[in-house]
Amino acid sequence: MIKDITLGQYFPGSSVLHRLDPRMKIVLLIIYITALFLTHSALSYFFMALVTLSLILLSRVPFKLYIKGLKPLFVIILFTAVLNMFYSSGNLICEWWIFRITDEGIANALRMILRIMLLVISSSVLTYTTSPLMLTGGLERLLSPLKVIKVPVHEFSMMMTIALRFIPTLMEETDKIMSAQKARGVDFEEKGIVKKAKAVIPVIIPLFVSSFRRADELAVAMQCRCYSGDNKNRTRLIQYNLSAKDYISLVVVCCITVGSILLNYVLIFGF
Amino acid sequence: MNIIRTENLTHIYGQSTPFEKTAVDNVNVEINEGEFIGVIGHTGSGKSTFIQHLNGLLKPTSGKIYFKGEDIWQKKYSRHKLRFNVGLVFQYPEYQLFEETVEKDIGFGPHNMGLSESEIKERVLWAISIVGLDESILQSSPFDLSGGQKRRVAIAGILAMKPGVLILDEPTAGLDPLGRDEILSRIEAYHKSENATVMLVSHNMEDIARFSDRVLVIQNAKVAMFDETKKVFAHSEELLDMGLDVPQITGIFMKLRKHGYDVDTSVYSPVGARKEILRYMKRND
Amino acid sequence: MSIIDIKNLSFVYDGTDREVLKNINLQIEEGDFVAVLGHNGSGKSTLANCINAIYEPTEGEVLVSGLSTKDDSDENLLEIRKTVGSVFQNPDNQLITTVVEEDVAFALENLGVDPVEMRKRVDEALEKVDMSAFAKHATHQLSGGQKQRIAIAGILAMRPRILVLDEPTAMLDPKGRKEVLKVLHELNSEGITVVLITHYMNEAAQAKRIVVINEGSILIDGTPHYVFQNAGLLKSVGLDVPQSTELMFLMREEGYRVPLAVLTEEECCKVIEDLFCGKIERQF
Repeated sequence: MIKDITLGQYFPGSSVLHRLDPRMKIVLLIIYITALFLTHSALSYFFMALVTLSLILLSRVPFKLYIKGLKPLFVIILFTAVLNMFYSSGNLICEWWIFRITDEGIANALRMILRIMLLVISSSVLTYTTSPLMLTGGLERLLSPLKVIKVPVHEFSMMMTIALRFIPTLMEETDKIMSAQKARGVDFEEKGIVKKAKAVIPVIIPLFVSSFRRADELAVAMQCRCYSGDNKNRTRLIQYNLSAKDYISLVVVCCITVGSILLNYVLIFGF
Repeated sequence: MNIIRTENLTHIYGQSTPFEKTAVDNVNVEINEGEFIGVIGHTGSGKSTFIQHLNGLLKPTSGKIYFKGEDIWQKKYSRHKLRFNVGLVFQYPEYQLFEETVEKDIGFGPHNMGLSESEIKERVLWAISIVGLDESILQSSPFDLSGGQKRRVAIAGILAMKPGVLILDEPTAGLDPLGRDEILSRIEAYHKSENATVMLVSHNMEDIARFSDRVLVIQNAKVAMFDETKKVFAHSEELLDMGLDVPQITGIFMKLRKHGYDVDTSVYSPVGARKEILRYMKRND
Repeated sequence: MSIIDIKNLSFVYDGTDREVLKNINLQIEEGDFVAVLGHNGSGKSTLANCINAIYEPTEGEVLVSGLSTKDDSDENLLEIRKTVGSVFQNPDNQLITTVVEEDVAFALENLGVDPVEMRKRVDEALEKVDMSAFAKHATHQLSGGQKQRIAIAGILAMRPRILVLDEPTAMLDPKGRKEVLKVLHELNSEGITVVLITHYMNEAAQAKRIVVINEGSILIDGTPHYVFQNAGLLKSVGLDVPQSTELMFLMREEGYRVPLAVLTEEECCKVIEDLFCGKIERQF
């Protein structure tokens, strides 16, 4: 059933990472990713891998969930790695037809694999430990300075919130409409593009009709609760307060970044 | 002869995940041709999951379903054809309307059956008369109709397939008393004129009491009771314990009994109640 | 002064010429519990939307604690919305955010209430609908009855004096219906005026006053006992009476002089006991 799919990657918990301020977490991720892109040497990569591993442990989210998150990216990672392997200069190791494999090529490929994996895992740490609502809330506040140059930050965040709220509802509804049309003899397993497209129409149209009705009713309900867009007086229930642990984590991540850059100059076997 | 029979029917959602939930647990029922069955059970009891097995929309985790003696999950059995024989009307069926005209929407099922244009036309006209709507609305858009009309068009869409078994999941939800009576009496007319088997899922005990020959009570994914209407409502205490309602009249007679009057507590309609009151008074004269 | 004062209200939807409401005059006192009955299309929902200022009267006037819904300045509308809370039929389409307490806080956020005060009011509103335990839950995983109670809490947080509910139980199962009704009666006993639009007779029977709307006009208006005495009239406009009332009519046909408007199981039980004891005389 469609509704069994869990949405958002959030994994409820109360670890240190869960309790950090969402704004800080977003900033930390950006710094961390920057550090990742400045990483070059083998030692530095090893260091970053260790850091990422400790992040996983700190998050108290089961390890296999991270692996699950990596699985769909397996092909992309492999593809980028192979590309990097062939398009590199360096000392030739073996050659076959037009393919040349060099030592630097292999090193590049390994770097690429590690870099993407660490990137995905560290982003997952954020999404696993931060509820979607906190994430949109944090983003809205982080981006709020952009309001000065007329970027509709509040509107985007509101749209995100409503989308998050209604995705499960609409999924459930799609499920129901599909069952109802199956009961009228629609065969969703039929082969052929034309037949498949035809089978979709009885689902799409009712879904659109109902979404518009929902939008209409929701708009009235919001109006009745005094919503008037982004007015200056708007306050929020959830207050974000930076505490000591947020500042400490900022310092730690900055140190890690500096460390990883410095480690770039310590080479092992020339890498 | 039974038309539908289930054998140890079990359905488990999300098996071997943390969200595992048994929605239908070892259900064995036999439904006879031409019967009117009321199905009751509170939300989440598994009754909706159960009825979706009867036309092959859901596949049982284990157990079997027989339609006219044939296992519907055996190899080469056409469940596609089965759905034309076992018509299922979902809750709020008006949400499935999608065609430009009422005529096309009602004709959608017959069209999928592969009937000829003239046969489809005939079925549409027949179905619209069964649900008591005027032919003049056939060319209008289903989205322009009133709520009650939409509901009836959606039901006509299932009836047009002339299913021998008609299953309805709360066909009167959200309708006013007039709309409710209209739809139920139309369903009863179909039941009588075509000798169709009907299964009516409803929270409204008064409706269940009024139309059903037998009542199936589902509780915690299991069959709690399956018996003649009168006998089921005679167990009103148990129904109340399950968190179900009983007809107001039944409730009144249960109170009378508690107050020491030896009255029959299986009455469920005002007419039955009058009879019982008069009988009691005559006996104690 | 009545908290809701409707004077000669007529309403026509834009672009149509059918009068959905025809010259309605209705006064509702503070603290009352009024059920508005009528079949689908009778105009009862339109009436609700005129009270909460979603629609502006085509003719006549609606005054809500002295404020006219005709004045469509932002300040006036805001004041009306704070006074009259609205709850609608489909609980799904009233919940705006994914977490219960944030949804309850939505109106307060819009009004710019101080976060400390907001926290207090959110907790208080959840307490009133008996949903405190669900504050951190995801809204879409709740049952229909629970969702509707959260929608009510979201309105209560504004501390309105009136609640207008447009068929709030139509999409709920019996359990959800009972939960919502219980909350409404508790709120009413605390002094909130309740206007409940419904077509469930048993819900209307529990109100203090019933107003029956038919074809855009008020058909009957009075206490439940008064209204249900007119069973014939109610049936003629497509409405029901409770089974107990129907039984009383049948007993009258048998010649027993039983009271007509018997609404609850207890009342009916009492009448039948009187019958059994021979306390009720027979006419023929």
